[in-house]
Amino acid sequence: MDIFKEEGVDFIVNLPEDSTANLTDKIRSDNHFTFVTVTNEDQGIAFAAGASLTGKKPVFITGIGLLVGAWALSMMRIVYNTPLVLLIAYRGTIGDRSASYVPAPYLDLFGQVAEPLLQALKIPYLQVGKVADLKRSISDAIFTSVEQQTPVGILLSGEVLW
Amino acid sequence: MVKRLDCLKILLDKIDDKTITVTALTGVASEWDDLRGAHLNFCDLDMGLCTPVASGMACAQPKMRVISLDSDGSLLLDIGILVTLGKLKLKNLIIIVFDNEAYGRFGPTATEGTNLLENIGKASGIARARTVRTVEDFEVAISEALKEWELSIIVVKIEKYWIRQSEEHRARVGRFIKKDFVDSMKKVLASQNLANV
Repeated sequence: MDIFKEEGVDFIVNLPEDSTANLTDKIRSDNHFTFVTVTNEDQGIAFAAGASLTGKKPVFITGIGLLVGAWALSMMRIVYNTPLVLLIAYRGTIGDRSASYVPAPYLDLFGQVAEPLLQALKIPYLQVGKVADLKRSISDAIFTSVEQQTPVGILLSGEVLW
Repeated sequence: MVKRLDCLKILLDKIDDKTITVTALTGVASEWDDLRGAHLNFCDLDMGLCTPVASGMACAQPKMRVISLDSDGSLLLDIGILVTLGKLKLKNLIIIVFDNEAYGRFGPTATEGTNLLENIGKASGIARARTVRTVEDFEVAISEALKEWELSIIVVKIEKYWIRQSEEHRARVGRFIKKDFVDSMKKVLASQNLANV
């Protein structure tokens, strides 16, 4: 949250998932942020894109739901070049200990297709597994999204989540 | 039956140059783009994206009026946005749905012969939701919506007709629309000292 504030981020869109629930619960209760809960991820990416186009630096927080957002994401990347940061819980990657909440095959699904999806849509992304790297990674993602006018993904894993 | 273009001409006369407009794809995009031009006009968003993008704009810039010019098929693709908006109750957002009760030439939508979108809007918590079937009723509805700062949905039952998009509009679709929109947004925000793009 402090990193978001330092980077001028005050607009967060989310459909809750358990891996990021601690973070989103804190953001929701902090008046610094406009926090919007949407009803599906495609809507969430479109909503965040609208905020971006009118002057905000929005962050969309998601996980497996990234797959639902592929339609809006492809439009905002390939047709409209819209700056946007996606904070993505990298479910199913090595070390994911959340299988007690989500069936392991679902995690395996996301683990297999998350990066190929981002690559297919030409979304620049990076992976962050260490807390010490988080600040620099978020800062870099925001910079690149604005500089290159594109959505940028941050795949969260390792000690950042589990 | 109502022609969409007649409603758009009425709308153009009633909005100012600080109003953001967002449109769904094909006919409404071309007709509105040809009428209004590039200023604060983000048009031709593909299926399901128009009202969600407009909602994000309205939420981000609460001092500016935002009008979504959506269609029945497009809104049905993400009908859940009405549930989101029922919670948010963005006072500066007006949704106009041009409901021709059809997916182009390819068959009816679920709105055929119903007030479905108005009813879903009301059930989602959007009190100012109505369906109109004449140009005169549209003019009354949009005048009232613009007067009151309250989340509104106006569903306009329109004639089924299809147009070929103008060459001027087709040349702008995609990145040019985005660039023109962001450029005009920067100028408006700078003049109002609202925020930085």
